[in-house]
Amino acid sequence: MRRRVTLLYLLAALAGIAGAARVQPELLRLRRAFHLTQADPLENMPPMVAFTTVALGGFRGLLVDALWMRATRLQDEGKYFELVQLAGWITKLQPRFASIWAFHAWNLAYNVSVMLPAPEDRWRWVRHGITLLRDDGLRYNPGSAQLYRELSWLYQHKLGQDMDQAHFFYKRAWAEEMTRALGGERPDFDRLAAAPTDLDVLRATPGAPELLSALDAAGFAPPYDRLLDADPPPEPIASRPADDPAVRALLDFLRARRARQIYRLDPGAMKAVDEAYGPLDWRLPDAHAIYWARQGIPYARSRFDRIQLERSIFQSMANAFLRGRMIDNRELGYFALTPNLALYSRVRQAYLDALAEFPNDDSIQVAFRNFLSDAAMIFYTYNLESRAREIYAELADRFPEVAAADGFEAYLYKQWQEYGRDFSPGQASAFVESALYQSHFWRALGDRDRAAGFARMAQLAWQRYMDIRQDPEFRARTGLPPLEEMDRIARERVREFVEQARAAAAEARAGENPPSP
Amino acid sequence: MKRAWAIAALTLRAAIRSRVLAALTVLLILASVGLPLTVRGDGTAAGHAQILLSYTLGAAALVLSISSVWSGCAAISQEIRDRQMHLLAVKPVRPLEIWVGKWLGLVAMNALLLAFSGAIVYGLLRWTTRPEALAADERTALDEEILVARAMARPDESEFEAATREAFRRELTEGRMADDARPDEAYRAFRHLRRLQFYGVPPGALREWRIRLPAAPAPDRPIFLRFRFAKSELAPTAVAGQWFIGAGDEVRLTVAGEWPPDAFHSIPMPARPLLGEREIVVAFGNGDPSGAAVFFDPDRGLEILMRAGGFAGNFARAGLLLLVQLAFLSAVGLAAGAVFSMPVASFVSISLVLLMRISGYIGEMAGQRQYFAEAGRAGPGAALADHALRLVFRALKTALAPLELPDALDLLASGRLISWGAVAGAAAVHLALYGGLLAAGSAWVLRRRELGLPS
Amino acid sequence: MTSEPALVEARDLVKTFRDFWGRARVRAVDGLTFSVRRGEAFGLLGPNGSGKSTTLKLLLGLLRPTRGALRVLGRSPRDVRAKARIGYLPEESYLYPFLTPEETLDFYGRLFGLSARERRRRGDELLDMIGLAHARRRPVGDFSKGMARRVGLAQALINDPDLLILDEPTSGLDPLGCRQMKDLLRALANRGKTIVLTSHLLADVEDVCDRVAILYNGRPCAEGAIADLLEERRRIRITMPADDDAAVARVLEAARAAFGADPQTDHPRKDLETFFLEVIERARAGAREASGATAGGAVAPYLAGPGARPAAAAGAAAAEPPPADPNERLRRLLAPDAGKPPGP
Repeated sequence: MRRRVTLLYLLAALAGIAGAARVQPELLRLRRAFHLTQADPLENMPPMVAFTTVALGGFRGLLVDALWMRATRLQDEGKYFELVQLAGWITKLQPRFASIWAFHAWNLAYNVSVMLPAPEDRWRWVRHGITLLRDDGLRYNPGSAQLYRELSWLYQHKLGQDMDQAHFFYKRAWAEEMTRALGGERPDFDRLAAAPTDLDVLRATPGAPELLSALDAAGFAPPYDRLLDADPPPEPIASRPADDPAVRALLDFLRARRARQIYRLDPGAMKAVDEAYGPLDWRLPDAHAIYWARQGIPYARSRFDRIQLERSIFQSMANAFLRGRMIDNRELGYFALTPNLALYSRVRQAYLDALAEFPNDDSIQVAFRNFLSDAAMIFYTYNLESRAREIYAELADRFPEVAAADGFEAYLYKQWQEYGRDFSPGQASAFVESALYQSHFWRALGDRDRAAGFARMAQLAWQRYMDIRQDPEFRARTGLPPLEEMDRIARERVREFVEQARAAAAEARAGENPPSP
Repeated sequence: MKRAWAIAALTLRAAIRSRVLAALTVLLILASVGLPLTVRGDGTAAGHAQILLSYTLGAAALVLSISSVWSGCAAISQEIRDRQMHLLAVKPVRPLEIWVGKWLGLVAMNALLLAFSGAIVYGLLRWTTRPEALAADERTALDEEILVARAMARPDESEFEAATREAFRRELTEGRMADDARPDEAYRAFRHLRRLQFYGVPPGALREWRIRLPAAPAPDRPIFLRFRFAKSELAPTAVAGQWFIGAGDEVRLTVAGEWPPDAFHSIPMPARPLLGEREIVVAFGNGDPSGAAVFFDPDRGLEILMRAGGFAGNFARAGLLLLVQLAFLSAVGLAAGAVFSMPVASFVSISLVLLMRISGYIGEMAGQRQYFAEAGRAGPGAALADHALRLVFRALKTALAPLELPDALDLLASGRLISWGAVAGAAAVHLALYGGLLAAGSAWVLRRRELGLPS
Repeated sequence: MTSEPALVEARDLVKTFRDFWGRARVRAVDGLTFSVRRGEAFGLLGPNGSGKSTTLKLLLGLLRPTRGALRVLGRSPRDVRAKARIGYLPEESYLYPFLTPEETLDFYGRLFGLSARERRRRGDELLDMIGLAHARRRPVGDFSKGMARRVGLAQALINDPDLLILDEPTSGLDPLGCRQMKDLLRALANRGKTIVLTSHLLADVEDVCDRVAILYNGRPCAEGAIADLLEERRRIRITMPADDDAAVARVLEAARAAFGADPQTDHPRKDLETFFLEVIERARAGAREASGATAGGAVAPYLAGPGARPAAAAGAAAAEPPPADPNERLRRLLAPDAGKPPGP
């Protein structure tokens, strides 16, 4: 009798548990939909982290406090070696607290990096900050618009701007990594997206197994990731033609894998970003800032979030316009960033879209105004005067308060005077470059006076800009390349242009007078 | 004394046969091998070595500290509770011998376990930093700055002290002291200000300090100048300047460069120009273009570090220092166990250990003037509470201050010398003095205690 | 009895247990006065809670008397020099469970300052005596209660004590062990050792002790030599063979004539203990080796008291085959050495 009663109770208990299990997912959904809990239910978390956050209970806060105090103390004493691990623990103990991730990533990338003298060390700590956000922060907080913005900011400001003494090092290091990972300035997104996803699929490509075994013999172990870093490429690769399907499949596979696993870049998403905001130079940080900001937009829950992300996007685009073209001349050790004129219409459209969405936002208005002003200047100095006038007309139309009363030239003159006192490096570079271009252009066309005028203008601007920068650190950080070098490049561009123009003209003439049969 | 050794052997045997030793060994292996695999360094070989030394040995030290205190509490109080102490007490053995015997047994156990985990960590360290595994510059950095024992020397402040006293006396005689000011507090403030000035370098100026080297420099090893300063402006841009190092009356070395503020910088200098010198002069010329003054941190802002020994010896001395700490904790546990029953004893001793760990924060709290008033509450109640809190923190700080031991692992991980003198000093204070007091007190308590009381 | 001072002297001993707040709660011993001379076996009797164990603990220094004077071996009980000549067997086994009997005896021997050789010799002899030589390497924690008790007895004897203090020595022992314990105690007393024990097993105390004190609620109710206390001097018992009925009738007639009443007659009974031992002995003669405690051998030679012969004598004694009749063997144990006066 007793046993039967016990059995009955047991069955009732089991039925209760089963019923609860059935109802649970619906409860969770309701919880999330009505935002009933401050912290979202823990899902998609590695079991260890989920376990500790629950098991520690109330002690979690104490532990985080103790770790944070320790981190502060160690950072103060200059003992940085523990900070990566401490930041990792602190963030994982409060994984849903986006601000903590943001703080620690910023701390590592900005505060610790600046304490170390050597650029390589700095770059290492900046990367620690980036990987903390990108690899772990986004994984634990997949829906946090704030983290996407922070990550975008790291790329845009720390890597992209020039506040840091070592910023050139960052840019070059990043460009190097991206070249290896993506294959160059303009990656082929379709191929990357369609690349084989694992070695077995790769082996199905004709010619792949022989290639792989040749690589094995050459000392490359599966999955052959090191191949991307090998310079010059090893014999099995070099001996085959560049469009060999096996080589292409292998490189695509490796690149897609590296992009996905290490840099968390999805080729499909990259393509969408490139089409929407490009063509972008993916070796530069600005493209990645745009990418991450774009990834965060679906998660923006408030107007503030959206504005932040949108602003990140068009600021990065404006930067890409101002200096989105990379020149990396290894033999001369010359590395520079120059304006990317092709982006103009895209950037303008992005600003217009943002203004349409947030018509009363002052910051967007100001940014757009500055952009139009800079664009007018740049186009003018690149000898695209009609475009420049169009842009100025738009500027005067939208922002009448900044337009000069006497027209476009007066406006330019006023801008030059202001610039003379306070150029930004991008502006200075653009200005000097375009002046030199003009000079060589007009010389090619035979107008020596105008050529000399522009040359003088370039010389003056360059001199004045560099005179302001006497401090050696300031000069190294924001200075211009030597004038002779810039002159040579401008001459080269003009020569190209002249050749193209000649060829086009010859073609046009050939069209008028077809050769007699 | 022989009886004490008999009891020590018994204690060790008890630990081994009660599987405590086995459990601790497993824990230590987990810590020594598992931690380096899971803890992330900063990506450099130096960082990894420091993680090994500070985390792994630190975890082992923590495990052993807790077990020392716990075993100390249990050693006597459990025997009293299980009445085995009755059989001991009726033998011709003094309570002091019982206590010392148990303490020796615990120290032997700690020594064994510490040696075991130390050997593992040392082996791991040598394996991961073997020459083939590292790049050349990583190897040099490790050899010169971490896997070495460097002695430290700071600027000589004796002249400064004399001058400050003289200046203060002048201030007093010239009648510049307010009537209601207390002289000792005023002198403290005065000295603090003058010390900041002593370590400050105005723009465009040169400041010298004398430093007495701990030993004569060896010709083939570099000397490190380690410094940190704050700038009088908020901008974090680097300060340009020049260091002049000389001896006698001539300048032997100059180093020019730019250094950002608030970060530690370490400049290696060849020792050859300074061979044979025991006292050197270090001078800094402030060439900051924006005209900011530079202030070196008075306590740790300016140091000379030079090699004074090898890493293996330093490692062994660090182990000895840790052993002194563990022996002290065992003594605390034993003393608590002699007075209280097991639960109370363990509570009392673990509280003491925790207090010792946070003594740094207690010191900071004791230095504050206000607690509640700062938090925004005013009124007589708050002032009274402030006063009471201040007294409590000061009392705690005074009580805990003599219990502090030099942080062996921190010194080891930054390549600094742990001298035999430091080890002997720690042993003398913590073992001979405090240990002796604890032993005498416990023996007195044990003698007074009626062990036959019904429990 | 002699001019020698008593080994134990207690005068007006009082022990009051106080609670945590210092209030008096229990008066365990109330005005106890007794003394124990050299070579005496003294028993403390009483119901549970009468203060017997408390008195022992006072003698050992584990408790301090609230009032009264107590001297043990001429010194305070807490004096280390007194403790060197005392052996104590507690009521429960308070041994270290992880030590083997060998190691236990070695440890306590070290505490008494015995040399390694001496420790080994005594240890071996004691283990033979208590019949645990075959289990010398097993941890005491694995032993049964009786075996552990024997080890406890051995550690009480390791230092050849002058004063042996035992708390309920026979509790927990089987009849064989009980008998052996009593014989041993008697033998030790005959050799000049002084014994103080407590028990509530009256028959055992009767067999071993010379003098007893009976306690109730901490107060002494009776004290004196057993013979004096128990003997009924005013009656006499005569034992004679019963084979000849006629002779028996004649004796009864004479008694009737002398006293005017029939004397009480019955057949004397063996006591159960002796019968039991005989039966077991016969069974053992035909059985295999036991895994528990064996009956054990002769008293360890070193305990024989002054003039004891060292190992050579032990070997000589072992050369003599033990007698088959258990009674004879026991009688041998009880028989005093030649030249020494019989016990009191």
